[in-house]
Amino acid sequence: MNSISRTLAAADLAGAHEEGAGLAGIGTADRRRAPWWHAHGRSLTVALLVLLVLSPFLWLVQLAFKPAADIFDDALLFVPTLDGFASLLQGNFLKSFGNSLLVSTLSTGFSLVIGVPAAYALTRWKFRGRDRIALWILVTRMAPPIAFTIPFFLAYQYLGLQDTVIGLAIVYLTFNLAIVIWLMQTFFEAVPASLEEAAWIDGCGVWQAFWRVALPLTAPGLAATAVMCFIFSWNDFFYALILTRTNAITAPVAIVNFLQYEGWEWTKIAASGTLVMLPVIVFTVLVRKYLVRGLTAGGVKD
Amino acid sequence: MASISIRKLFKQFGSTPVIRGIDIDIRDGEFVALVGPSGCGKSTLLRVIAGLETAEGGDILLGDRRINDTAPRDRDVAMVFQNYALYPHMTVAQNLGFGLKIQGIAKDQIARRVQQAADTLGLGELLQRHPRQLSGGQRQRVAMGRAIVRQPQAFLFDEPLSNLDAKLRVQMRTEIKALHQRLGTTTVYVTHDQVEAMTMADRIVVLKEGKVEQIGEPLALYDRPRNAFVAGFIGSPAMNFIPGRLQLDGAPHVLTDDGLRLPLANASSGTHGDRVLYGTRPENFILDAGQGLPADVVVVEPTGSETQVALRLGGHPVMAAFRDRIDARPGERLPLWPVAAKAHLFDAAGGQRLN
Repeated sequence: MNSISRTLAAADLAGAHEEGAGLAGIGTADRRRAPWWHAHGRSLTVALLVLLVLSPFLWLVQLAFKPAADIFDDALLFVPTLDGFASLLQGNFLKSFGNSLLVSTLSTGFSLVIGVPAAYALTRWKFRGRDRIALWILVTRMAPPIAFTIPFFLAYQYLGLQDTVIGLAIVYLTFNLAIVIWLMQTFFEAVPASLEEAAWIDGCGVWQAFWRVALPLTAPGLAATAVMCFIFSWNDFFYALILTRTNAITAPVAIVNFLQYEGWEWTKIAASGTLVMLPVIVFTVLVRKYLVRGLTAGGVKD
Repeated sequence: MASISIRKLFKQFGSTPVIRGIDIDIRDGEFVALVGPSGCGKSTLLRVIAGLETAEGGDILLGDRRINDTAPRDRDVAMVFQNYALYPHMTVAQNLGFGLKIQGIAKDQIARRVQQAADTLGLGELLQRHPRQLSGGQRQRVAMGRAIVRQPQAFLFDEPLSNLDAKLRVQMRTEIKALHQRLGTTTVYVTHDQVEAMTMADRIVVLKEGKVEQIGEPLALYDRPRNAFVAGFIGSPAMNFIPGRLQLDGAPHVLTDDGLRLPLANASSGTHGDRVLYGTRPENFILDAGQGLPADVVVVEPTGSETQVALRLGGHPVMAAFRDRIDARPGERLPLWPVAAKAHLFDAAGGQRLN
C-alpha cells in the first residue's frame, strides 16, 4: 500500500515537473514571437460563429434594401433602396402589423393581469393540492400546439371569435399564462415573506401588500416575463394562419401572402420580415439586462 | 398603549405542538422579554401576538379587546423583524411613513411625524437613502423608526439585535431601553440572549418547549430561579450544578458521590438522602485556605473586569469568577469554597427548587 502511494506521489511530482517545463516553454515562446492567432484567435472564432448564426438574418436585411431587379444578384455591393418598404405602405401589410401589435399587447396584458396574481397566490398560500394545480397549469404547454387546433377552431366558429383580434389574443393568453405563472412564481419566491408581513402589520391587506411591496420588487422579472409573452404572441404563425381570414390577419401571416400564384415578391417579403423582427429586437435589447437576470433568478441562493 | 394578556394559548404546526398552554399578563407600558433556547416557541408566540400566525386555542387580549381573529393590520401593534424587513424599493422616509400612508393620514402630517421619528433616532441625514445604502446599525434604527412613527399600542421585537456586531449590539440595547423609558409603550422583546433580556426587561418570561418555566423580574430570576432549567439559562457564565445527596443531620449540606461536602444555609423542602443538584453561580465561589475544597485549575480566562477560571472540583467541571485578579495557572490547585447563603438546591429528578 505504502509503496503504491509513494510511486503515485512520485509520478505526480514528475507530471508537475513536466507541466512546469511545458508552461515555461510557452512563456518563452510568447516572449520571442507571439503568434497573432494566440492573441486574436478566440475573438475571431467568436466573430465567425456569430456571423454564421446571424447569416440568414443579415441576408434577409440586405435583401430588404436591394432593388427588386437585383434580388437574385449575388453581388454584395449595391445601391440601397427603400422601395421594398414603400411598397408595403400600399397593401394591407400595415393593418396586419397593427393587428400583430394589438394582439400581442392584449394577450400580454391579459396574461399578466391574470397570471401574476395567480403566481403570487400559488407562491404564498399553502393550500392543499397547490403543487398539483401548478403542475396542471404547466401541462397546457406540454402538448404540441396543433393538438388544440381543432377544438379552438370549432369553439371559435361557434362563439363567433374566428378572424377577430380578441379571439387570437385569447388563444395566446392560454399559452402565455403558463409562462407567466411559472416564471413569476420564481420571482415571488425570491421576495422575503417578512417584507409582506411587515406590510400587513403596517396596515396593508393581503392584496395591498402584494401591490405595494411584492409587485414592485419583482419588477425586473415582470419586465422579462412580459417580453417573453409579447415575443411568443408576436412570432406565432400557426394559430394566426388557422384562426384568421382577412380581418385579423397578423404580420407573419401577411408575409406568407406575398407568396402568390403570380410570383413571389421577394423584396416585400424581405422588407416585411425585417419590420416584423424590429420590435422583438428593440424589446430584447431594452430589457436584455433584466431578461438574463430574470431567467437565471432563483438558480442560486443569494 | 395597552396591556397584553395571553390566556391558555395553544399553537401547533402540523401535528407538532409549539406553544402548549401559555398564560402571560403584560402590564400597560411594561417591557417584557421572552427568552428560551431555539425551538422553545418564543418567536412563534410573538408572531401569534402580531397576527402573523393563528393560535389553535386560548385568547390574546390587547387591552380588553380579544384579538385572536383580528387581522394584523387592525391590531395596532408594530413589529421589528430580525432581518429588519425594510422595503428595499422605498427610501428611508418612505419606509418610515408607509404605515401612516396606508392609514390615509395627510401628507404634511406624515412628513412631520417621520421627521420627528428620524430626529429621535438620529436618522435625519439618511431620509432620502435606500436601505441598501445603509449600514446594519442604521437599518436597525430605520426598522425601529418604522415602529415608533405609528405610535402603536405595543411594540413587538423579534431578536432585533442578533444581526449586529457585539459593540453595536450593546449600544442599540441601551438605545432601545432609553426609547422605551421615553415612550413608555408596552413592549414584547424576543431574544435568545439572556444578557439582553436581563439588561433591558422589566420582567422576563423563560420558555421551554412551548411552556412557561418562570416569569419574573430579572434579578428575581437570577437570585431565585424556580428550577434548574431557569437557573442554568439565566446568567453567564452559567450556574454550576454538582449532583449529590442531601444531608440534613447536623449542618445541612450536600455530599457528592466522591465525598465532597458542599455547604447549605437551609433546605426548606427535601428530605435526608434525596438525590439533588447543588447549584452555585461562578461568582459565589470564594478562595478559602482554611475550609476550601481542592480544585484543579484547567483554564484561566481574564476578562479585565474579572477573572474566570475553569476548574475540576473532584470529578466535576466548574466555572468560578473572581473580581480580584488571580494569578493562577493551569494545573495549580485552588482552595475553592461555595458561599452557603448563595447556594441553590434542586431536585435531581424534576429539577424543582428545594430551598
